[in-house]
Amino acid sequence: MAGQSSQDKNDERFGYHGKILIVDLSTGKIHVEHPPAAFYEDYLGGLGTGVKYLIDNMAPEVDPLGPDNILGFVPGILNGTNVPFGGRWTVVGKSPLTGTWGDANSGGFFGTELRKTGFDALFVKGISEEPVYLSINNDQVDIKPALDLWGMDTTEVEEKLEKDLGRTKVRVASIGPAGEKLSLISGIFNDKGRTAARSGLGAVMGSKRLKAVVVKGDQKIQIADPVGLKEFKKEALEPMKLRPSRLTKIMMALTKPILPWLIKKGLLSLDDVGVMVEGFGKHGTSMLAAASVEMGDAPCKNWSGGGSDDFPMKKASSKISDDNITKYKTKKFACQACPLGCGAILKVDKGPYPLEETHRPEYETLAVFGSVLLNDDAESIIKANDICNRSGLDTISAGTCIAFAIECYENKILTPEETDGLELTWGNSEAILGLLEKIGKREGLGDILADGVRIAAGKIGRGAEAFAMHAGGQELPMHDPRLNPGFGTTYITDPTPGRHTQGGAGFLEFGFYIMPFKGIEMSEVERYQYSGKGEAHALLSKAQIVEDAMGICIFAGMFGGSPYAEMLTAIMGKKYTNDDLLKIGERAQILRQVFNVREGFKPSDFKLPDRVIGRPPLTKGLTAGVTVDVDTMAREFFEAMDWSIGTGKPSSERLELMGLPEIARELHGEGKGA
Amino acid sequence: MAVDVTINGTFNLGLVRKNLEIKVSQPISFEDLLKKVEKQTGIQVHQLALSTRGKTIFSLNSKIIQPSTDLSCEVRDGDQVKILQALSGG
Repeated sequence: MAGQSSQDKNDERFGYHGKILIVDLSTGKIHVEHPPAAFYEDYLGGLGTGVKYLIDNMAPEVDPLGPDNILGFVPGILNGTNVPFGGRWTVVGKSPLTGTWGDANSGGFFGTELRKTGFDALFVKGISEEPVYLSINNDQVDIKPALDLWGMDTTEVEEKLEKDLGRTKVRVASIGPAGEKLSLISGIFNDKGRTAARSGLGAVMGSKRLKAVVVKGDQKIQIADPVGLKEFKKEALEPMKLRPSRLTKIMMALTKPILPWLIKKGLLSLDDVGVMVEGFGKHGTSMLAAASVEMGDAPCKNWSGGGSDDFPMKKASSKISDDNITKYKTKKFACQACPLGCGAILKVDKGPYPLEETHRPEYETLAVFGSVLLNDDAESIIKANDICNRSGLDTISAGTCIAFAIECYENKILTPEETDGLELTWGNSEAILGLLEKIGKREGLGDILADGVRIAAGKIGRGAEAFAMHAGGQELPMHDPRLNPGFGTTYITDPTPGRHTQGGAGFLEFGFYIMPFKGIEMSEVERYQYSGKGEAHALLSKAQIVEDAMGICIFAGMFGGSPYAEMLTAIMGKKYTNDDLLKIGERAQILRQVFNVREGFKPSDFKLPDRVIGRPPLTKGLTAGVTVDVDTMAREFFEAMDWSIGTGKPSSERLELMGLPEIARELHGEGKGA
Repeated sequence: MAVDVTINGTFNLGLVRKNLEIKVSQPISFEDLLKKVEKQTGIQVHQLALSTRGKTIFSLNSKIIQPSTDLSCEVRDGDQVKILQALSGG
């Protein structure tokens, strides 16, 4: 397949290149499109331009694993500008796991490197006859054979491509064997362990026989006001200075016996944000995992247990939290443009699961392979994370599938013959890892579980559905609505069901205001008050979507608001306010919802398992006795968004207001939206 | 006579995970217990309870305490109190 060079119109533009790359793997055709300025100004990048492109170019009801599903690799518009926390990129497509709109985002360096090639996005359609990989070296784009890569794990692929291409710092996004085998719980991996895990988009890549995308570039993003941007970046980095200095730490160590007295007298104080910067920088999301279990945020025993009783901090959860994970750390890992570095590379020297180099498990992984499975063996969780990263599995879904299997086994729905002899009992780390390997390879019971719990329950039957913890087919994240009901609302109202990183009132209930935009203040909410949160939920949803369009890390807001609107203005040379950003977020969120409406989904299609909302309520743990009313919260969210709770359709008035008259006409007919 | 207190969170000086016993000679209010914890540890949990936005979870015998309404509830010998913080969105 001969390489093709793109044709750049080379107009002056700020904040974007003005080129997107389209590859059809069925025909081998590669071409470049030059979207109008409004494509960028109204949708920015990442999730925003991703959904805009698919809405405009993909027909409804395509087979998600067929040639007509378009898989997009879309950097956030801040990728490549070195704006703090601006290194996230997004994968978009129709989810084969849920049949809905699908997206997932990842950190690392791939998104920025893709932008450095001179393309703002890559969209892939069609299906190649043979396995291939895509090489993008600035404007040189080639579809190359990948028969020798097929079957390799994601780490092996990265290492081989780096070696074969002889280029330093190529960045690779790839699938593992799970994606090749069309596991619907597979993701797309970069930097040997940063993952666009959710929505099953690894299977979409596998269906196209696209093993990897390799990018290398040196194109710069033109900045409209570089001096102004520099000043705003300084402001955004201010919270990082609150990290305790070495001198402060030494003083703290020396005065340890009288520290309480010093603090009480006001002679020593440490800013809360500084503590967060320090702790989060050191432990990442493993920080306070034990407390999450203890309080009931992390689900326990496949959502049937109470953390403080079934996986108590003193005996169990502390073993898989912060210092007991960080003790394996050999070096820090920070994504591109991240001033904090919440990632880490670990080494496990001895024991049954030695690993020379692997990424630290994130909180979601610690919880799903820990409290959900009643497994307090930290090294087995580190190994499970490594297996998922290499084979290309989403840890949340894979762990949930194993919990489902254990409960089926416990209830004699699965027999020892069906588990290939694996003794699937709670906390049996050896069996957990054994089954995980089988899922990655689609062997035996693993073949059934590799498509997620909903499909597995349908295949197994015999009442297995009762143990399948999912929303709309996607396994649930590790934030229990019985503690923070707003998460449950997000799980069933976001156009990609079963997601926790799509914003919503759960963050408010939790008390961590993940709002990175300086100047947007959120009101306090009562945890178990169900009415009156719709507007806040909608606002946080819009904010999260525009964060994903910009490529901002979800954790940016933990350290206070930053002048992102001002930074975007400096980059684009077009004035943006917080209201403008929220409008962009809403517009993209509407298009995600429209995608589902086109597919025939209604809000009532998405429900949480009874167990997850406390029907019946737990009898143990801090959330014992709690039954949550997510229906009221969901209804009020739809009202706040001006979407029909019956059909899911955004109102024609709202569509007009968002500058989407053509969608208004499509959904509501001629004359109503015009 | 003592109350078993578990603390895990980012308090004042950094990441804290500790278990302690607070001596009580007779039943006291939850608020008074927090004052005793504060005095013994230097962690300003009482102040936190008054200003918390949900970030800190307080519980008594496996039941979540709402600081805005429940601070007067009674704590007795042998009771278990937890003061917990966690991250969201990880």
